[in-house]
Amino acid sequence: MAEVVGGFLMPHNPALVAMADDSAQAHTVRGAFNHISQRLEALEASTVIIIGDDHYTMFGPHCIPSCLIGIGDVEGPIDEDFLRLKSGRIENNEPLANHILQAGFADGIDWAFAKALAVDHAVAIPHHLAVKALPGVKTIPVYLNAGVFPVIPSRRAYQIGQSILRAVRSWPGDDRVVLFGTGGVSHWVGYAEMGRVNADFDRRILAMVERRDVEGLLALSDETILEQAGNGCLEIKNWLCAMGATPGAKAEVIVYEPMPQWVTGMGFAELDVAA
Amino acid sequence: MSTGALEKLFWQIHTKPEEVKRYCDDPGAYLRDFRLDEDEREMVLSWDVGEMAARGVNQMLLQFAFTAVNGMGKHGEYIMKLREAKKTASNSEDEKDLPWLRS
Repeated sequence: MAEVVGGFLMPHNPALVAMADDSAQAHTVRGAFNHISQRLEALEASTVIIIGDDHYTMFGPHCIPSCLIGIGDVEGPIDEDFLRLKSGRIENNEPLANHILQAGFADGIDWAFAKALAVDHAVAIPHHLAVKALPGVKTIPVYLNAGVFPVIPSRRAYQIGQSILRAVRSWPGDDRVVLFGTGGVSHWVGYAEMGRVNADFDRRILAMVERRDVEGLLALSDETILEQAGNGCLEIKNWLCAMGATPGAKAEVIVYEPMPQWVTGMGFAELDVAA
Repeated sequence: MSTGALEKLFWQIHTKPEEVKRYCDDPGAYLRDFRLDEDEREMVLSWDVGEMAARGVNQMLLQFAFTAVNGMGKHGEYIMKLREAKKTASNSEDEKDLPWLRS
């Protein structure tokens, strides 16, 4: 029987791979990805579900899915020039991804799905920094719309996580699944405030994560998040999805670094299912 | 107002490098392929990003398109244009209606 064995929350800031930065903060946040990679090994993870959001790059005004799962070929990053990261194949777990899709339909989740998907940095960077080096570990990409209004409601993001958990638990394979909720915390992308970091708000979010105050996080309106922490912080919807799939997990902050030079508050946490 | 047409234009420029060249070769001709009002054409040609943001154009996409056409070196100019537009708005409107200015 497949099981969810853990979860992690992390940024997917392009600066992680695109910026030549030898600062102590840069070492700290890159080290956090190494830590997550080591934890994946310790958890004997076989599949990572990376939850990200498109940055108006994969999907255009002609079609913007609210929630999408990649069930076939996956490659990326699609924005490789910007990232200075060579695009390549990402090994999917197609049987499990298809099962999550079908189980989601039965569960009331109107997934969009992709049979051939080129992912952007939201999935490609966490994969590159934490998963790629681990032999045999597969990646299922999930995209929630947190970047183009109207964005997915936070509660729906959480419910999708719950549905993913039910799907994994009903899968007869022996997969050991870990979820990555990616993005955030405060950052303003393309706004006048770009470069600002609201560390107080970020720490408040991380404290709510540690307390597992899901209702508190769900109660944060999109308007409040936008005002306090920018459009980039709407990506905590991806975090909520991962939290929905890891009920009862002990959440612990790995590291937080406010990095205005990277225009982002960089927050990491583990959702420890075994604790 | 047709933010959908503006976003279609900007998405095309952002995701297809060959479209940037077509745009730069003759911006006026290029824009005729999109269902833009005259004032929207003028906003694009003058890169009035503050007004386009105020009209609801996705600002992440707006930034990508601006830098695709004008170069990453002009990113600071993009931000300054937005900040200038905000200052103008704050001088002409009750600040209570602009909570983001107080944070």
